[in-house]
Amino acid sequence: MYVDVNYTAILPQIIIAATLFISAMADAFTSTRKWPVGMIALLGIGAGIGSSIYLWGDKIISFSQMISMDEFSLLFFITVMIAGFITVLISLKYVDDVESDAGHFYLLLLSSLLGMMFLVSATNLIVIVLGLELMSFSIYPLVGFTRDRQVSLEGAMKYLVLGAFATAFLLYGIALLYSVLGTTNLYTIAKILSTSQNPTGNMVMMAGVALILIGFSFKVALVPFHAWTPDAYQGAPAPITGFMAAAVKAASFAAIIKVVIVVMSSYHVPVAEAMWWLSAVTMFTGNIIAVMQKNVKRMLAYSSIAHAGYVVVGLVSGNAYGMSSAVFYLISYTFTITGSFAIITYLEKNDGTGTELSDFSGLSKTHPVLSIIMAVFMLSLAGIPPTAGFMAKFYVFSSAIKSGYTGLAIFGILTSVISLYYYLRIVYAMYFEEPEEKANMPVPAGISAGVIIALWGVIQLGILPSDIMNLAMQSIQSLLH
Amino acid sequence: MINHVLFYITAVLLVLTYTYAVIAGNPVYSALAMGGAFFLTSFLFVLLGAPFLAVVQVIIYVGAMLVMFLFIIMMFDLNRSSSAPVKYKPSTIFSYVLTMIILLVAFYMARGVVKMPEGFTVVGFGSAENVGFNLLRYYLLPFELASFILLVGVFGAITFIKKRDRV
Repeated sequence: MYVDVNYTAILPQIIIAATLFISAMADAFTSTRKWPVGMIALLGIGAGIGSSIYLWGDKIISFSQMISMDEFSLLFFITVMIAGFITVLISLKYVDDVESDAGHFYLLLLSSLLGMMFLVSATNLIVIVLGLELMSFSIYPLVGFTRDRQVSLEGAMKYLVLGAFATAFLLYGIALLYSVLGTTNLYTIAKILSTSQNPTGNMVMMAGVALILIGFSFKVALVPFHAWTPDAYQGAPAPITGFMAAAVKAASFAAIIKVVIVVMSSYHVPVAEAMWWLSAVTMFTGNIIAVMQKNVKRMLAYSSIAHAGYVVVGLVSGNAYGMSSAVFYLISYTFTITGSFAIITYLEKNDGTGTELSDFSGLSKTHPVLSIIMAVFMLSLAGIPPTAGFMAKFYVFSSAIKSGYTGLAIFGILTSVISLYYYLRIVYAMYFEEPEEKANMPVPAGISAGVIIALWGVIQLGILPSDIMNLAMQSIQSLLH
Repeated sequence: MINHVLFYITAVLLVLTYTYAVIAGNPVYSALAMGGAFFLTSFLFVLLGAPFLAVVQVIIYVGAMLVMFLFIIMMFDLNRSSSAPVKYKPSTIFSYVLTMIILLVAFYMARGVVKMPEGFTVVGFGSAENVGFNLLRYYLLPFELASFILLVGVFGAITFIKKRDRV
């Protein structure tokens, strides 16, 4: 009996899964210092990135139309794997410092990468749910990884409960959609919607789409579904916070683009209005609350909520240029935020302190190079040229203006002026305040390497954005056909 | 016709048991009510013509999960700490009422729109043979992916319960 199996279609996933098993074996045969496991994870993720680049340009749909390997999937594979690569690099010393015999840190990181890769390449709602769950189940224990700290466990618990809640929304939405359309296959759904005369007349289907959108909005932390974000981001170990802000967000947004925007919105299901409000409220709330924060991790948590709002600005228009700008935004944010959290990882002490704003005071005196790089990351988050963040915001807002959403674009620019205040406060603390104590420990090699990769990405995307923008365009085109 | 009558009886009982599971003061009663609800759910599957799913529901949910819940409740001795009657704040009651209104509106709008998808009417749709055939042919990838989720569950458990000797 014929079973539709094509292993090339899931080659990058197979590489990551194999790395997971090899790392698990290595974990069993190493001492309590686990950096060799991290090295194996690095090699595997590197091979995964290589295979994704090698496969670029192919389009294979396999496993009974469950998986599509196209440029869209591959671009997001590369994005999440770069985030994973930088995260492993900056964790090499950190993990051994906070916990002995902790190889499962890398295993969970790899399995969450695997979940993300299935999530972004899925073309069936069932695979999307399973990918999302694989990703989330790996992240929950990582948030509570430093289990001696109350805040870490609290963050993990909140994330777990609200994550389960979000999955319930998603599943219920899918069930409603299935009850109307009779299928979970995205290609079939697109076909039914394109031939249907009045798809919006069916209230059950609309409720299903709304519930699916809510389920994903929890994962990317759009207001009003953001309540878990500050606690989970602050409680998690610093490298994991960066990973969540970069990769989890990128993968969940890929699912939103695929399910809600391409499949639903192209066929006149009106999600644009909902997206408009979500993005406006998210940009405003995230930036306003971030201004009041004293802890840098919590501040960046609120700022990551605001950034999710900016990504949605690109999605409101629902056309190819808008979606490409959203993809570009996610890539630039991935580099910037993992780089910022690499530096925060260096500053975070083993008991979880060291991330207050006052801990950045006078950093330029003790670490001049690190301070300049941190300043570049902060300027990129605020959206000041010539950094990646500026180009990302430029593309997103210009796509909104081109599609006639000028009001939303102006509102977004105003909120990013607010955001300038708290990003520059970190820069101010580093350069114009006196250090409280002179602790000068060397920067670990892994963190240096991670910071350099992130800095390269931020500068590259800021000065020569058109290459990556073309790739984003190609990836969206591969999705539309 | 008899199917319809049985369905409505089961549905009402199901809502009542789950409501009791939520409001019961004693966690053991809650767990047992949930077990009853699992049985009723499996009866719904029987009515839908899916005997395999019904059996799996009983074996996994009642046989494994419910027993695990009861074990955990008894291990923690939650009985004493939470035997005080639950107090309802006005905001809680308001949210219950709001939920009921939303459900009624949804039900009103859904009348006549929801119909059984084609596949359900095929004879033997929910048989063990059919489930196995579909699971290992069309749904091979999700089936394998689910095994990874179980693996990650083990990793997650290790993260929180692993003993350590301080370095």
